[in-house]
This record gives sequence, C-alpha cells and structure tokens, in this order.
Amino acid sequence: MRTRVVSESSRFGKFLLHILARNKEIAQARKEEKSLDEILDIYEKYEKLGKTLHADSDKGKLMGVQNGQ
Amino acid sequence: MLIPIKENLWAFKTDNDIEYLIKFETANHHFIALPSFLNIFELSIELQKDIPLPSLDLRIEKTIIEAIRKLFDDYTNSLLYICDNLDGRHFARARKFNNWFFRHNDGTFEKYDEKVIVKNDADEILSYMPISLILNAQNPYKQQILNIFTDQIGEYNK
Repeated sequence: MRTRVVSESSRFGKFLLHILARNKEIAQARKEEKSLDEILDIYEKYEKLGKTLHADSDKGKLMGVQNGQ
Repeated sequence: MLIPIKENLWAFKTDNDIEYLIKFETANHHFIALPSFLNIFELSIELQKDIPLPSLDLRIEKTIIEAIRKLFDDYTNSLLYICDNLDGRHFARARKFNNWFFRHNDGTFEKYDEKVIVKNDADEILSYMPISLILNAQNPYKQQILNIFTDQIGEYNK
C-alpha cells in the first residue's frame, strides 16, 4: 500500500474533504439519533454539492479546450 | 434480507433490530478523465445507531457483500471504499474490509489499496485515509480505470 499526498486544492483532495465533511455531519446526526430518512437527506445534500465541487476547474478546462489550449 | 430503497441504495435489519444502509454514490464527476460509459461508485455503510463496535455477525458481512456483488452485475462498475479518520478507527475499518474482501473474493475482483494524506497550503495534514478501489478482474477497462485513479491521486495542486 502506497502513501500518496494530495493538496486540499487538488481534485482528489477536494473530493476527500467533501466526503469527510459529509461523514462528519452524518456522525453528528447519528449521535443525535436522527432517523435514517434524515441521514439520507444529508447524503442527498452532499450528493448535490459534490456535483458542483469542481465546477470552476471544469469550466476552466472546458474554456481551454474551446480556446484550442 | 436486502431491501432496495432506490437505485444504488439498500437497507437491511439485523436480529437486534439495527438498521443498516448500504449506499453506492456515483463519484464519476471527481475523475475528470473517466469516460462517460464507465462508473465509479463510493461505498457507504451506515448504521442507524451510533455503535462503538458494530457486531461481528457474519450475516451482516454476507449481506453487505451481497449488495456489493449486485453493484458488479454491471462488471464495468468500480467501487471506492474510503475510510475516513473521524473516529480514529480508519485503519481498523480498512483491515476489516480487507479481511472481508479476501474471505469472499473467489478471484472475481481485484483490489488496489492506497493511503492518502490531504495537506493544506501550509503543509499541515488535514486528513489521512486508507482508500481501496475494487474492480472486476474481467473488466475490459480495468487498466484504464486504474490509470485514471492513480493519475487523479498522483496529481498535486492541479
């Protein structure tokens, strides 16, 4: 098993920190004995957030392709 | 018994009335080079209650494995298992998952393990997580997916 280092601003770093934030919120919800439906709502919220997580960099890359870069 | 809740979401209840959720969330958008016809899912196993030491009931293990096998009905699917370090038991969970994998894998699947450290600009460690990528050994795109995965992890400050 190799150990890799990623920066918080890299795509994978952002992804992992996003998972961490979601799991933290879910752990808190569990401590508060929230229902599974409420936990699923948290998943859904983060699923939506996850889809926009790289929007800026994706837009930049797309612009680069369009500009022939 | 596995109960389908919706697409890629399963639930089951143990004899002790503890509900489990098994969720496969698409992680495709985190892998920019992934072709649109391939899918990488992230596995979440969620308990209804905050139990410090989940049961060692073999039926729980088998039920979770059954759900994972269902995901691989499409043998081009890939699965990420990320053990967060929120409770400090991330390596214990990774070891447990590893044991499950070797106990149930008949050669159908291949697993690639990495440990990933996330650092901020001040070089401080924000997180340290073991990650496994599981692929069907017969997946014709196996090497391509693996390259995309390792490239994504290998990048720094991109």
